[in-house]
Amino acid sequence: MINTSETLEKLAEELSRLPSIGRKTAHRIAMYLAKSPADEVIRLSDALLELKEKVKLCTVCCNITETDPCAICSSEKRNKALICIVEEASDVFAIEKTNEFKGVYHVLHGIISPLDGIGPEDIKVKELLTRLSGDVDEIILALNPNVEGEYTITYLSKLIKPLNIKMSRIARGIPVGTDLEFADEITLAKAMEGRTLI
Amino acid sequence: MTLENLLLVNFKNYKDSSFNFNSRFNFIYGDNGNGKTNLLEAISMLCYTKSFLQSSEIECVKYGESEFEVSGSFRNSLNSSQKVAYRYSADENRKSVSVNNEVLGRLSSFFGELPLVVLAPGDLKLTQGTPGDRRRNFDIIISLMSHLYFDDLKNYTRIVKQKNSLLRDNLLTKKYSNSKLIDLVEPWNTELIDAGIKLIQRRAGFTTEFQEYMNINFHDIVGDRYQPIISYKPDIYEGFNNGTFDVINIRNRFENKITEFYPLEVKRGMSLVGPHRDNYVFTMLKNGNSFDVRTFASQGEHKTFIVALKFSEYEYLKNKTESEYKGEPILLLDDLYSELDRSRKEKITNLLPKLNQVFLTTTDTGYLELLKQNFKEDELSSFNIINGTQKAAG
Ligand SMILES: Nc1ncnc2c1ncn2[C@@H]1O[C@H](COP(=O)(O)OP(=O)(O)OP(=O)(O)O)[C@@H](O)[C@H]1O
Ligand SMILES: [Mg+2]
Ligand SMILES: [Zn+2]
Repeated sequence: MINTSETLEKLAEELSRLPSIGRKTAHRIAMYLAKSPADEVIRLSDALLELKEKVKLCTVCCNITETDPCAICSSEKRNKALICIVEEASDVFAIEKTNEFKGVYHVLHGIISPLDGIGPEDIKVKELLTRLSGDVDEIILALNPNVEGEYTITYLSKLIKPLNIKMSRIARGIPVGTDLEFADEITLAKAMEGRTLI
Repeated sequence: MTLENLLLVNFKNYKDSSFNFNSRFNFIYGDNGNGKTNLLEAISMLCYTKSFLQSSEIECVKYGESEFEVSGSFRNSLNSSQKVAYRYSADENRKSVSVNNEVLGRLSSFFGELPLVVLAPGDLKLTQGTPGDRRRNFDIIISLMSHLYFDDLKNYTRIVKQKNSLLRDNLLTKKYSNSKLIDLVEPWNTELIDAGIKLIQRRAGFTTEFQEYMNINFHDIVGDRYQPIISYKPDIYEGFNNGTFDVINIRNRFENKITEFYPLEVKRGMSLVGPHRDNYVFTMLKNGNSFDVRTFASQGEHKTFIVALKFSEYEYLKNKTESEYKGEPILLLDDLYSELDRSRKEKITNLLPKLNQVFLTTTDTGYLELLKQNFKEDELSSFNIINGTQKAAG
């Protein structure tokens, strides 16, 4: 292929780094933007910059937030001694929708998976342990019920066990292979209710 | 279950061919290299959502083309019909399987819906090949019967890959200290043992049940001069004669062996203990002596063993899935008669009418006469395959 615009190629390459964007799609988007009116593209680029400026990780729970600590961590109504550990920020969103959970969260930003080159040092485990030295009574592990989720649960529970904190995991009511993010609200609510001690 | 028709478009040496099959017996003949095996392979792709020959999709696209399609209608025991279509595009490297025009999201959930048993020339590696060949063969049968096993097996395989990846990477990068590495490996071992125990118990139970099927089918072909024995040899019991299959015993032995082998696993950078290293051993009792099929059997004895094995798989699946609506499995017999003597050929032919729907390939039309003695006229159709097309035949 003859490369007609280096700038376009550069953008396409950046875009193809995004999750679920392949090379073809990246090119299509880059082409679309090249042809779009300038003000539309400026709005997009402003939104990107603003995102980077304002959105950060909560220094307490590592969730995505604009205020630090985040709304959940700074809410009077939430029980700070009860922490629910999840993989991704989208899982917080899914659990919040059930309106059943009154504790706070810890977002790991990933799961341990050697095949993907991800070890405990690559996700927010250190941050979790720092947090646990404070006043925490109970931990709920709400990770996806797959091989890596199970591993991470076992790994974390071994780390947490000596701290004498009550630990439970959400019940396996979620059909195997379904990601937490996609589980419907009722299943998820039930799973939270039926959590089991580990 | 029966396959009523099949359409092949740009699949291997088929440009655009369709077949209407007999619900009982399909005699597929033609000279070497004309596409008989390819036709059976296409059937297996619909039933297993992959090829029994483990061909990659790209190898199945007709030379010079960029996509293929295979589709067929299956009728189950409730007499309802399912149209299954398998499409692959090389340009997008995408495959899709649809059932009644609805694209399947997760292929694995479909596995077992269309039970199929295949006998292929490559199956000689079952008696002669590696433990992995035999494991794979029985894993397919147990998985066709049990979704749970299929799921456990998938998880187990994933756990082994993860553990291997951790050990191998660390061998190269030395990223973790010894004690940190143990901390990281241990949870994988916990999972590996939990999942592995389930596989071991299933395999042991399967082998015991399967032995009876094997006895009957073997006897029907060769009488009682020989007795076939299939022994399950779990890796964790290697060197132990008296391993039993209750959970406590398995767990104990598993934990001990995995601990014992840990230093070696670290050194080699891979996981060395568990059912991914299990074996099945085939022996025959002949005139009071037992001998290992792998090393001592003649060509014909190998083939006989495998034919009996495949017929047993058929009966086993048939009985196991009886209560379901699926109906009896389909049986593909690629080059059934080669290597066998006349008496065995006849005995095996006599067994064919009790089976459900059979597809048999051969280069020798002579067998048609033999088969006609066993089937009514409308129970048998023959297909002459010439270079990917069907020549009009009876
Ligand atoms: N992708 C492909 N495109 C076109 N032709 C192919 C493709 N893959 C394989 N073939 C051809 O298919 C033929 C093999 O067909 P097949 O194995 O079905 O023969 P067969 O009738 O079973 O022969 P035999 O009696 O020797 O077992 C070969 O000639 C091979 O060249
Ligand atoms: Mg062939
Ligand atoms: Zn927070």
